[in-house]
Amino acid sequence: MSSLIDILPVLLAGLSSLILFINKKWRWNILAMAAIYVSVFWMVLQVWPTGLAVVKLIAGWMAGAILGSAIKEDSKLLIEDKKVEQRFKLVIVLIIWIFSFSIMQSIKIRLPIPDTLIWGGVLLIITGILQIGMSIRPIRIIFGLLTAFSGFEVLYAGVEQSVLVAGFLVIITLGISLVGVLFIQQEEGEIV
Amino acid sequence: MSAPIIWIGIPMIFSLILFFIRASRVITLIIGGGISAFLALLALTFKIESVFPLGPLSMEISSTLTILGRNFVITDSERFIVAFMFSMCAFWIFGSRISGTNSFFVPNVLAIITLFVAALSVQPFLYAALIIEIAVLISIPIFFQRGQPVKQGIIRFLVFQTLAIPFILFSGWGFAAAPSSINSQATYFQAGVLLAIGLGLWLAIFPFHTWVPLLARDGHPYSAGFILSMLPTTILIFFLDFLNTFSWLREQSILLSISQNLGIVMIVMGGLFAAFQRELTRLIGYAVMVEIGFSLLAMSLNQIIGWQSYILVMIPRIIGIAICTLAISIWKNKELNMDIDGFHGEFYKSTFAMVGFLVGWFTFSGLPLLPGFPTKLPILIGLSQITLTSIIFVSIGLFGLFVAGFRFLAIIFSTRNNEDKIETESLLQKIFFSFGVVLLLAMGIFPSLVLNPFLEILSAFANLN
Repeated sequence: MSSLIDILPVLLAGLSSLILFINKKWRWNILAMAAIYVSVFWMVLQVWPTGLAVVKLIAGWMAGAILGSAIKEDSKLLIEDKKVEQRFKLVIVLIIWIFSFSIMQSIKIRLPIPDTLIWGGVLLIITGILQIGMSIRPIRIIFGLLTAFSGFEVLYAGVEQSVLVAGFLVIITLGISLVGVLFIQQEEGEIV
Repeated sequence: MSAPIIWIGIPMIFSLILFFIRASRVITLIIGGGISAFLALLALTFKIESVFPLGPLSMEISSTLTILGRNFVITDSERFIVAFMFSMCAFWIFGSRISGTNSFFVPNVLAIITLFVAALSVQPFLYAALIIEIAVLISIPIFFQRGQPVKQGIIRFLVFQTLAIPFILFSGWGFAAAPSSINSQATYFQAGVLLAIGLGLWLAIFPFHTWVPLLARDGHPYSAGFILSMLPTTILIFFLDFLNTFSWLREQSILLSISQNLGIVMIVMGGLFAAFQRELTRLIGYAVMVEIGFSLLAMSLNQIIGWQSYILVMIPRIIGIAICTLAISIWKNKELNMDIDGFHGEFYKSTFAMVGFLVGWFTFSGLPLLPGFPTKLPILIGLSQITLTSIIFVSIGLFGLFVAGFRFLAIIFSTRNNEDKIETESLLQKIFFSFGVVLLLAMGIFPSLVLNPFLEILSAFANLN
């Protein structure tokens, strides 16, 4: 039985990925991303030493900062949320979460890692893939990719503790966010 | 001095320097192409793990470099793979001179090839997945075209390649964990399924093939051509390493049968889509699908002739894609309509580019006297010994490529109202296309002389010989 302190990061991951998915306000998105990486750090802390786990938190926050610094106040990328769309997305996420909790048991048999890591990882992967699948705008897809990839990082942390792998995963996280910045600049016609 | 420092460290430093001076296009091209050609020559001539006398001094190149507890190893038998990768890098970089690619192309291509070499040399080799993903991320800027928004093909390419990583890494973990597992047979099977999905996403194998024609259409044609040729080549060599290490995998008849069926599906789909495709840029995507299908078929033979063909089909494929996408880039730069109906009488305006494109295209189709024929024929002969039905389907796919080629041929010679003026192509353009055409013809007419030396690549995979 997992303690409350172990379940809290799963709840945080679920809530923040939900905000990232249904809310299009730029600042909220960056805050939600930062919260996702706090939850990733918290979950990974169960299997990794603090020094190594904190790398994920820093990398995630840096990725958020990189994306956050690329958007301008008057950008045409800033768009308003539609209530109907948000409600629809909320329902879809809830259905997918119920589905994901139904497959947890079969994953648990195959993956010898703590339950909370499986819950958090699968939750993030599924929400991320949902965001990739339901978005057209490149930057929303980048958010989806980062969410799904952070979920994978949680699961993989349970089976692999290599420093080199952790380093590569950091490079990939930052790389995805830099590609996001390039997408933003290309959309705004800034790239030569 | 170790081999990974020479063939990974040095080109990576050069790519960083070139990135900062990328505005000087000619200088970056000369340095980038020059260093690639030099490293290819070095790989062909220097032996790893042996002593070289340098006047009064002597130098030994060791094979291993250890970083954070993991090894990067380039053995003497892998020199040919390194030489092959860097020679192709030089080929693509020099070709970019007339293609109109953006300023990111040369530094990023050098970095990508270096990362591919790193991916093929890292041990445990499953970490290659992470290095390949970094290469994919670096490749994104080379697709951008001035004044155009980010298009679906580029995004889908990024998404599919990124989603492949978890599958490959977990399959690696599964293969490592299986021997000590209570139910090792089931663990092996699950790892195999994950590997198949990961490779499917990486290599754009059906049903994950959708990004290939989209990338060919949406990215810069020459940049897309580079990725569509070099990424599958690296992944196919990586997979060869996989099959070489896990011998039992080659004995799984289900794997061979799945690979054969998927290969046929890829060839039939690619060929049929190409036959009905009107947009020239997407045609290349379908040709790539057919080529990947042939690689899967070669693998499914699981014989020495299959492994040799597996290597040999890669060479004309890369040259063919390069020459075809170079021609498309030039036409796109001239703002020609990419629908094939827009090419009426184009043969008279850009003869060299057109001949280059056709020679490249009919190389994919397997036309005799071109290198697609001697490299694909052993696969078809090997397949015919297993089943004849498959040959019929493969022929349908190849026929589709022929139909597309002849349809294009019919259009380019026909003129409308004699309104087309004769235009001249630049000398550089003529030289590039002539070189490509002569290279392909030489490979097609003298395959044992020009292509067979590439079989040295197989020496790195002792269990497959």
